[in-house]
Amino acid sequence: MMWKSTGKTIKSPGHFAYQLCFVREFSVGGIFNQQTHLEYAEATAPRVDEKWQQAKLYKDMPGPSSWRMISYFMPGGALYNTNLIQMNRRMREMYGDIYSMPGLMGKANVVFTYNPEDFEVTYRNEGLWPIRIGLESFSYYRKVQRPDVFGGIGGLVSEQGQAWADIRNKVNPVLMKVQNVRQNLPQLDQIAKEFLDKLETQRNSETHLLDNDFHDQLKMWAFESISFVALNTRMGLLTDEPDPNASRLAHHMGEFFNYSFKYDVQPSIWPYYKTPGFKKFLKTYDDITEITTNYIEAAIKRFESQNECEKKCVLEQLLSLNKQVAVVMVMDMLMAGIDTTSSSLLTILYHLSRNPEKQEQLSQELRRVLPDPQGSLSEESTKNMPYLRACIKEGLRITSITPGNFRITTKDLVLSGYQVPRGTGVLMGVLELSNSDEYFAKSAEFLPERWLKADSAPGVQACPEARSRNPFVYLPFGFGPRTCIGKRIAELEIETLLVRLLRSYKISWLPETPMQYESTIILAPCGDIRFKLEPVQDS
Amino acid sequence: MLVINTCKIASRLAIRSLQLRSLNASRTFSTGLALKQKDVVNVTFVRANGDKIKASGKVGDSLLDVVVNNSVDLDGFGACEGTLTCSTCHLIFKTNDYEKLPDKPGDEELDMLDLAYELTDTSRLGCQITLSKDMDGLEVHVPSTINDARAA
Repeated sequence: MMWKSTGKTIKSPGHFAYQLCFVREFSVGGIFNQQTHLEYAEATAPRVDEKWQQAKLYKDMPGPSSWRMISYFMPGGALYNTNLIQMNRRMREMYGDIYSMPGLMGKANVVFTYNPEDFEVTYRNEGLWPIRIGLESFSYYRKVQRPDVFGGIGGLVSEQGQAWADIRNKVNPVLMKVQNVRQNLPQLDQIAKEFLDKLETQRNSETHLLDNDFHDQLKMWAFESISFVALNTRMGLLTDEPDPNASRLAHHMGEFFNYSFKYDVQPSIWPYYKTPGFKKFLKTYDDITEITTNYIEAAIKRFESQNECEKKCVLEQLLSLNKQVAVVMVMDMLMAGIDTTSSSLLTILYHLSRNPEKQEQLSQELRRVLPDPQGSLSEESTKNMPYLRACIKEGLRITSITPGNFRITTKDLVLSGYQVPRGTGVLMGVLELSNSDEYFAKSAEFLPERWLKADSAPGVQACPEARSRNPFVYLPFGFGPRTCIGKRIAELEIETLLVRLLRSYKISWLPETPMQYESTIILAPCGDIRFKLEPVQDS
Repeated sequence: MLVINTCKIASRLAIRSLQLRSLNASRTFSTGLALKQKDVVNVTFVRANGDKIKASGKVGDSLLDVVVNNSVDLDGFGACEGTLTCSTCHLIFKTNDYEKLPDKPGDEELDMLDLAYELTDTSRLGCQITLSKDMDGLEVHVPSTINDARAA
């Protein structure tokens, strides 16, 4: 089996929710968690309404046969040696805006669609318990390997059905309620300030260049931020003396993404035979579990010795729900909140650095938000930052870290005029549409104005398109009950650091080439990443 | 699926309203007299077919609380329980009333409203509207389809 998986797990920016977007046609990795299809799609009577009966039959949908598909991936075939994005583009060229890929070895068929109306139908009919296939190695570790710690809880990524809803409904008020998440602003602002202090020590005051890898630094910022939110603990990763356990944890979290790509996305025989590499992965996972639980235990002791304070932090709130849920959620936040958030921030910063006029426009807004660059950000001052929020949306439009979203249908649906039976996978190619001139005029340009619903400043006018556009062509955090659970935290972190960075520096992009991305478990910036950071005049 | 979902939502709302009611009851008990008349705000929900549903809440309640506490029969309303992750509590205000609302919609609310059915210029999410005394007699329209992922 030289090629076994075209699959790819993709995650929303900064978030704990994985969007599995892949076709694991030949994967052998499916024996643990592949009961995900029809088991959760509750039995319903066959659909007989007019719309359904008039729709074309599923078997008539364009798409390759199983054997033809295998031949595509053979040497000399149309898809040989392509990554997921290239593969999807070629398939779209060959078959059009909707096509079906046959599921092999008992897997669900997958419909690929590039029609926003289909996105809307799929999402609006996903029901209370939408299905998105999770990471199998995750589930294996938690449920088979360490039931002692996790008590049978796989977490939001891998659970489906009632088990998923039980956790999600509990944690929603903690992680999705705007006010509850925004109470972390003062500390996240402090972390952003410390990040800038650290940059200052690495910045050459004459050339304005950094003598350190900016991407790595951003990951440290993301880790410091998410571990504060999740563990109520400052790790000191932005100082010269980080907590040694925190450094180890940070290192492991970086490895985790590679492992996950290797064992959940790429072909692997681990479900049948535990390779030495897989055993090493389990060892790393054990280490992560141990360090995290130690931090949680320490936090519990701290909470017990403290007086009851008015506002409970995220960890206290999670612990009051259920300790195992807290452990699982904390680990998921730490794992999913580093590469995602730092990649998203880097993308936005890259676009701003290549569009000095837009950056200047933003800078003016930020002078109003933060008149004294040394001052603190408050709930009130950050309420009105329309241009900043537009810049974030525009950056994530051009490169969201997830090329698409995936669902298994729980009902019979009509998509682009074809019958799609329940239990079929639907892959919604959002990134292609959000980079198409059909849905976004001058789609290749970074134009934050296109998101403004009201005039934000003199000379910055509302864009009528912002109100008329089909909202389903841009959903970087997904939609509905399975919306990325880390959305609020990610947005708050990103906003806070962008305010600090662009209030203090004029940032420009140094490499001659555009930013490169590698497509592994998420789309992450790679290659030559260098910025010039010149202090702004009045700071 | 639809039936099951509806039952689930209904039972969840029922449990929640029971909890809320018992909370209200104990609060009433502990503060002695029931709410004074002046704290009561009357609201009318108008369905797409013209049916009017009268309900009341107290100052400080959200319009979502009013629907839940009065067990107003609006299928799927308020599915995410006010965490701003769905748009099922979408309500349409009269222009006058809309302009009088003290707080403008925040960014999170606007993003969710984008995904609401039958969006108008005077749409808001009920979970974000807090009742004040001067809202007494308010009439709001409920769009014909409260259709969100959770109400499918």
